[in-house]
Amino acid sequence: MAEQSNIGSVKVSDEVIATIASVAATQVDGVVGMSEGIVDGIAKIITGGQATKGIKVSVGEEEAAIDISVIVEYGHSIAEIGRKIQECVKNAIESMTGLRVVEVNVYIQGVHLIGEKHDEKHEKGRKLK
Amino acid sequence: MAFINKFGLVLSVLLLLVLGTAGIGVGLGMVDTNLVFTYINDPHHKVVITQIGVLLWIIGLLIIYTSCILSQEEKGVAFRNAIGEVKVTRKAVEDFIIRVCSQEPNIRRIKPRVTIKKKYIKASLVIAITSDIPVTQAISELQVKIKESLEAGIGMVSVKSVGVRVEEIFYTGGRLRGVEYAS
Repeated sequence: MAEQSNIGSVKVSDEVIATIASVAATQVDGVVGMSEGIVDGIAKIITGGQATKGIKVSVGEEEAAIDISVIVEYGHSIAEIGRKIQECVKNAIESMTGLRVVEVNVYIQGVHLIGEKHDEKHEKGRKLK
Repeated sequence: MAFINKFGLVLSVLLLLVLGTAGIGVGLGMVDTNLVFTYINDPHHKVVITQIGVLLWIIGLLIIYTSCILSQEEKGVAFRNAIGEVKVTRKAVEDFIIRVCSQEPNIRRIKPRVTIKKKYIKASLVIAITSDIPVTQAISELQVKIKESLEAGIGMVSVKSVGVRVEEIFYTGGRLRGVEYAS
Protein backbone atom coordinates (compact mmCIF):
# COMPACT_ATOMS: atom_id res chain seq x y z
CA MET A 1 0.00 0.00 0.00
CA ALA A 2 1.50 3.37 -1.01
CA GLU A 3 0.15 6.87 -0.39
CA GLN A 4 1.40 9.89 -2.32
CA SER A 5 1.64 13.28 -0.59
CA ASN A 6 3.32 16.59 -1.49
CA ILE A 7 6.39 15.70 0.56
CA GLY A 8 6.78 12.10 -0.60
CA SER A 9 5.23 8.68 -0.58
CA VAL A 10 4.27 6.58 2.43
CA LYS A 11 4.39 2.83 2.07
CA VAL A 12 2.97 0.32 4.52
CA SER A 13 4.33 -3.16 3.92
CA ASP A 14 2.28 -6.35 4.08
CA GLU A 15 4.29 -7.46 7.13
CA VAL A 16 3.21 -4.34 9.03
CA ILE A 17 -0.44 -4.96 8.19
CA ALA A 18 -0.01 -8.61 9.26
CA THR A 19 1.53 -7.49 12.56
CA ILE A 20 -1.35 -5.05 13.21
CA ALA A 21 -3.82 -7.86 12.50
CA SER A 22 -1.92 -10.27 14.73
CA VAL A 23 -1.81 -7.85 17.67
CA ALA A 24 -5.51 -6.97 17.28
CA ALA A 25 -6.50 -10.65 17.14
CA THR A 26 -4.48 -11.69 20.19
CA GLN A 27 -6.08 -8.89 22.23
CA VAL A 28 -9.51 -10.50 21.83
CA ASP A 29 -10.59 -12.29 25.00
CA GLY A 30 -10.40 -16.06 24.47
CA VAL A 31 -7.63 -16.05 21.85
CA VAL A 32 -4.64 -18.13 22.98
CA GLY A 33 -2.44 -17.29 20.02
CA MET A 34 -1.89 -17.49 16.31
CA SER A 35 -1.68 -20.82 14.57
CA GLU A 36 0.90 -21.79 12.02
CA GLY A 37 -0.48 -24.29 9.51
CA ILE A 38 1.45 -26.53 7.11
CA VAL A 39 1.22 -23.91 4.37
CA ASP A 40 2.69 -21.25 6.66
CA GLY A 41 5.50 -23.60 7.65
CA ILE A 42 6.54 -24.12 4.03
CA ALA A 43 6.17 -20.38 3.31
CA LYS A 44 8.44 -19.66 6.25
CA ILE A 45 11.09 -22.06 4.92
CA ILE A 46 10.92 -20.52 1.44
CA THR A 47 10.85 -16.89 2.59
CA GLY A 48 13.45 -17.44 5.30
CA GLY A 49 11.11 -16.90 8.22
CA GLN A 50 9.60 -13.62 7.02
CA ALA A 51 6.00 -14.84 6.92
CA THR A 52 3.92 -13.64 9.88
CA LYS A 53 2.58 -16.59 11.81
CA GLY A 54 -1.00 -17.45 10.95
CA ILE A 55 -1.73 -14.33 8.88
CA LYS A 56 -2.20 -13.99 5.15
CA VAL A 57 -2.58 -10.49 3.79
CA SER A 58 -3.74 -9.40 0.35
CA VAL A 59 -3.31 -5.67 -0.14
CA GLY A 60 -4.38 -3.50 -3.05
CA GLU A 61 -4.11 0.26 -3.54
CA GLU A 62 -6.97 1.09 -1.16
CA GLU A 63 -8.32 -2.23 0.07
CA ALA A 64 -7.08 -5.21 2.03
CA ALA A 65 -8.26 -8.74 2.78
CA ILE A 66 -6.96 -10.72 5.73
CA ASP A 67 -6.94 -14.46 6.48
CA ILE A 68 -6.13 -15.19 10.07
CA SER A 69 -5.59 -18.54 11.82
CA VAL A 70 -5.95 -18.69 15.59
CA ILE A 71 -6.07 -21.04 18.54
CA VAL A 72 -8.80 -20.27 21.07
CA GLU A 73 -9.32 -20.98 24.73
CA TYR A 74 -11.78 -23.65 25.84
CA GLY A 75 -14.83 -22.27 27.63
CA HIS A 76 -15.63 -19.36 25.31
CA SER A 77 -18.14 -19.27 22.46
CA ILE A 78 -16.01 -19.93 19.38
CA ALA A 79 -18.42 -18.22 16.98
CA GLU A 80 -18.43 -15.13 19.20
CA ILE A 81 -14.61 -15.06 19.35
CA GLY A 82 -14.52 -15.33 15.55
CA ARG A 83 -16.87 -12.38 15.16
CA LYS A 84 -14.90 -10.28 17.67
CA ILE A 85 -11.61 -11.04 15.88
CA GLN A 86 -13.13 -9.93 12.59
CA GLU A 87 -14.30 -6.63 14.09
CA CYS A 88 -11.08 -5.91 15.99
CA VAL A 89 -8.80 -6.70 13.04
CA LYS A 90 -10.94 -4.65 10.65
CA ASN A 91 -11.07 -1.64 13.01
CA ALA A 92 -7.34 -1.79 13.82
CA ILE A 93 -6.19 -1.95 10.20
CA GLU A 94 -8.64 0.70 9.00
CA SER A 95 -7.77 3.14 11.77
CA MET A 96 -4.00 2.64 11.60
CA THR A 97 -3.40 2.41 7.86
CA GLY A 98 -6.41 4.06 6.22
CA LEU A 99 -6.96 0.97 4.09
CA ARG A 100 -10.51 -0.30 3.65
CA VAL A 101 -10.71 -3.88 4.89
CA VAL A 102 -13.09 -5.75 2.62
CA GLU A 103 -12.76 -9.20 4.18
CA VAL A 104 -11.46 -10.78 7.37
CA ASN A 105 -11.59 -14.57 7.30
CA VAL A 106 -10.95 -16.28 10.61
CA TYR A 107 -9.83 -19.90 10.82
CA ILE A 108 -10.06 -21.50 14.26
CA GLN A 109 -7.30 -24.11 14.15
CA GLY A 110 -7.33 -25.40 17.71
CA VAL A 111 -8.91 -25.25 21.16
CA HIS A 112 -6.71 -25.16 24.27
CA LEU A 113 -7.15 -25.06 28.01
CA ILE A 114 -5.47 -22.39 30.14
CA GLY A 115 -2.16 -23.61 31.55
CA GLU A 116 -1.96 -26.39 29.01
CA LYS A 117 1.25 -26.89 27.07
CA HIS A 118 1.12 -26.29 23.32
CA ASP A 119 2.04 -29.84 22.34
CA GLU A 120 0.41 -30.79 19.04
CA LYS A 121 2.14 -34.18 18.82
CA HIS A 122 0.08 -35.52 21.69
CA GLU A 123 -3.28 -34.14 20.63
CA LYS A 124 -4.56 -37.34 19.01
CA GLY A 125 -5.21 -40.35 21.18
CA ARG A 126 -4.57 -38.11 24.09
CA LYS A 127 -4.09 -39.40 27.64
CA LEU A 128 -6.13 -37.46 30.16
CA LYS A 129 -5.22 -36.83 33.77
CA MET B 1 2.62 -27.20 0.06
CA ALA B 2 1.39 -24.67 -2.45
CA PHE B 3 5.03 -24.39 -3.51
CA ILE B 4 5.25 -28.16 -4.10
CA ASN B 5 1.99 -28.10 -6.04
CA LYS B 6 3.25 -25.22 -8.21
CA PHE B 7 6.59 -26.94 -8.67
CA GLY B 8 4.82 -30.17 -9.63
CA LEU B 9 2.56 -28.31 -12.05
CA VAL B 10 5.51 -26.60 -13.76
CA LEU B 11 7.36 -29.94 -13.93
CA SER B 12 4.34 -31.70 -15.40
CA VAL B 13 3.88 -28.97 -18.03
CA LEU B 14 7.58 -29.11 -18.94
CA LEU B 15 7.41 -32.90 -19.23
CA LEU B 16 4.34 -32.68 -21.47
CA LEU B 17 6.05 -30.05 -23.64
CA VAL B 18 9.19 -32.21 -23.95
CA LEU B 19 7.12 -35.30 -24.83
CA GLY B 20 5.02 -33.24 -27.26
CA THR B 21 8.12 -31.80 -28.91
CA ALA B 22 9.63 -35.28 -29.18
CA GLY B 23 6.41 -36.59 -30.76
CA ILE B 24 6.29 -33.70 -33.25
CA GLY B 25 10.00 -34.15 -34.01
CA VAL B 26 9.64 -37.90 -34.65
CA GLY B 27 6.42 -37.37 -36.65
CA LEU B 28 7.96 -34.75 -38.92
CA GLY B 29 11.16 -36.76 -39.32
CA MET B 30 13.22 -34.09 -37.59
CA VAL B 31 14.51 -36.58 -35.05
CA ASP B 32 16.40 -39.69 -36.09
CA THR B 33 14.48 -42.53 -34.37
CA ASN B 34 17.45 -44.86 -34.68
CA LEU B 35 19.47 -42.37 -32.68
CA VAL B 36 16.75 -42.25 -30.02
CA PHE B 37 16.56 -46.05 -29.78
CA THR B 38 20.34 -46.32 -29.66
CA TYR B 39 20.36 -43.82 -26.80
CA ILE B 40 17.60 -45.65 -24.91
CA ASN B 41 19.15 -49.09 -25.44
CA ASP B 42 22.45 -48.06 -23.89
CA PRO B 43 22.52 -49.82 -20.45
CA HIS B 44 23.96 -46.71 -18.78
CA HIS B 45 21.20 -44.47 -20.21
CA LYS B 46 18.55 -47.01 -19.16
CA VAL B 47 19.60 -46.54 -15.55
CA VAL B 48 19.39 -42.75 -15.90
CA ILE B 49 15.94 -42.96 -17.57
CA THR B 50 14.71 -45.29 -14.78
CA GLN B 51 15.97 -42.86 -12.14
CA ILE B 52 14.15 -39.95 -13.82
CA GLY B 53 10.99 -42.07 -13.98
CA VAL B 54 11.22 -42.93 -10.26
CA LEU B 55 11.81 -39.27 -9.40
CA LEU B 56 8.74 -38.20 -11.39
CA TRP B 57 6.68 -40.89 -9.60
CA ILE B 58 7.84 -39.63 -6.20
CA ILE B 59 7.00 -36.04 -7.10
CA GLY B 60 3.58 -37.15 -8.40
CA LEU B 61 2.82 -39.09 -5.20
CA LEU B 62 4.00 -36.15 -3.09
CA ILE B 63 1.63 -33.80 -4.92
CA ILE B 64 -1.29 -36.22 -4.42
CA TYR B 65 -0.39 -36.62 -0.74
CA THR B 66 -0.12 -32.88 -0.08
CA SER B 67 -3.36 -32.21 -1.95
CA CYS B 68 -5.10 -34.75 0.30
CA ILE B 69 -3.65 -33.14 3.45
CA LEU B 70 -4.71 -29.68 2.29
CA SER B 71 -8.25 -30.80 1.45
CA GLN B 72 -8.54 -32.39 4.91
CA GLU B 73 -7.13 -29.27 6.54
CA GLU B 74 -9.60 -27.05 4.73
CA LYS B 75 -12.67 -28.93 5.98
CA GLY B 76 -14.52 -27.23 8.78
CA VAL B 77 -17.68 -25.75 10.22
CA ALA B 78 -18.10 -22.30 8.68
CA PHE B 79 -20.42 -19.32 8.64
CA ARG B 80 -20.23 -16.12 6.68
CA ASN B 81 -21.16 -12.58 7.71
CA ALA B 82 -20.70 -9.09 6.30
CA ILE B 83 -17.00 -8.94 7.27
CA GLY B 84 -15.97 -12.38 6.04
CA GLU B 85 -15.93 -16.03 7.00
CA VAL B 86 -15.37 -17.73 10.35
CA LYS B 87 -14.32 -21.33 10.00
CA VAL B 88 -13.72 -23.83 12.78
CA THR B 89 -11.45 -26.54 11.39
CA ARG B 90 -12.03 -30.26 11.97
CA LYS B 91 -8.97 -30.37 14.19
CA ALA B 92 -10.36 -27.57 16.37
CA VAL B 93 -13.67 -29.43 16.75
CA GLU B 94 -11.73 -32.56 17.77
CA ASP B 95 -9.68 -30.43 20.19
CA PHE B 96 -12.91 -29.11 21.65
CA ILE B 97 -14.20 -32.65 22.30
CA ILE B 98 -10.91 -33.53 24.02
CA ARG B 99 -11.32 -30.49 26.30
CA VAL B 100 -14.91 -31.46 27.13
CA CYS B 101 -13.78 -34.98 28.03
CA SER B 102 -10.84 -33.67 30.06
CA GLN B 103 -13.42 -32.33 32.54
CA GLU B 104 -14.53 -35.92 33.19
CA PRO B 105 -12.28 -37.55 35.81
CA ASN B 106 -13.24 -41.10 34.77
CA ILE B 107 -12.03 -40.81 31.21
CA ARG B 108 -8.43 -41.93 30.96
CA ARG B 109 -7.85 -41.62 27.24
CA ILE B 110 -9.77 -40.23 24.24
CA LYS B 111 -9.40 -40.32 20.50
CA PRO B 112 -12.09 -38.25 18.73
CA ARG B 113 -12.97 -38.35 15.05
CA VAL B 114 -15.31 -35.77 13.51
CA THR B 115 -17.15 -35.97 10.20
CA ILE B 116 -18.30 -32.59 8.91
CA LYS B 117 -21.27 -32.37 6.55
CA LYS B 118 -23.02 -29.26 5.19
CA LYS B 119 -25.78 -29.10 7.80
CA TYR B 120 -24.50 -31.19 10.67
CA ILE B 121 -21.49 -32.90 12.19
CA LYS B 122 -21.03 -36.42 13.53
CA ALA B 123 -18.57 -37.30 16.25
CA SER B 124 -17.18 -40.70 17.09
CA LEU B 125 -14.99 -41.27 20.10
CA VAL B 126 -12.75 -44.08 21.20
CA ILE B 127 -12.20 -43.83 24.94
CA ALA B 128 -10.67 -45.61 27.90
CA ILE B 129 -12.45 -45.26 31.25
CA THR B 130 -12.05 -46.30 34.86
CA SER B 131 -14.25 -49.05 36.26
CA ASP B 132 -15.58 -47.13 39.27
CA ILE B 133 -18.61 -45.71 37.38
CA PRO B 134 -21.80 -47.20 35.89
CA VAL B 135 -20.50 -47.33 32.31
CA THR B 136 -23.77 -47.15 30.34
CA GLN B 137 -25.13 -44.21 32.29
CA ALA B 138 -21.81 -42.36 32.28
CA ILE B 139 -21.43 -42.79 28.52
CA SER B 140 -24.94 -41.59 27.72
CA GLU B 141 -24.35 -38.55 29.93
CA LEU B 142 -21.07 -37.94 28.13
CA GLN B 143 -22.82 -38.15 24.74
CA VAL B 144 -25.38 -35.52 25.79
CA LYS B 145 -22.64 -33.32 27.28
CA ILE B 146 -20.55 -33.45 24.10
CA LYS B 147 -23.54 -32.69 21.88
CA GLU B 148 -24.68 -29.76 24.03
CA SER B 149 -21.15 -28.39 24.50
CA LEU B 150 -20.41 -28.52 20.79
CA GLU B 151 -23.65 -26.80 19.87
CA ALA B 152 -23.21 -24.13 22.54
CA GLY B 153 -19.44 -23.71 22.30
CA ILE B 154 -19.05 -23.61 18.54
CA GLY B 155 -22.39 -21.92 18.15
CA MET B 156 -23.13 -22.60 14.50
CA VAL B 157 -23.46 -26.32 14.25
CA SER B 158 -25.96 -29.12 14.74
CA VAL B 159 -24.59 -32.38 16.11
CA LYS B 160 -26.35 -35.33 14.53
CA SER B 161 -24.73 -38.13 16.51
CA VAL B 162 -22.05 -38.88 19.06
CA GLY B 163 -20.79 -42.44 18.83
CA VAL B 164 -18.66 -43.76 21.67
CA ARG B 165 -16.53 -46.86 21.65
CA VAL B 166 -15.13 -47.85 25.01
CA GLU B 167 -11.86 -49.43 24.06
CA GLU B 168 -10.52 -50.11 27.53
CA ILE B 169 -11.76 -50.19 31.10
CA PHE B 170 -9.18 -49.71 33.81
CA TYR B 171 -9.93 -51.51 37.07
CA THR B 172 -7.82 -52.58 39.99
CA GLY B 173 -5.94 -55.60 38.81
CA GLY B 174 -6.00 -55.12 35.03
CA ARG B 175 -7.91 -53.97 31.93
CA LEU B 176 -10.96 -55.06 29.94
CA ARG B 177 -11.49 -54.26 26.26
CA GLY B 178 -14.22 -53.35 23.77
CA VAL B 179 -17.74 -51.92 24.33
CA GLU B 180 -19.58 -49.73 21.79
CA TYR B 181 -22.30 -47.07 22.23
CA ALA B 182 -24.07 -44.74 19.80
CA SER B 183 -26.56 -41.93 20.28
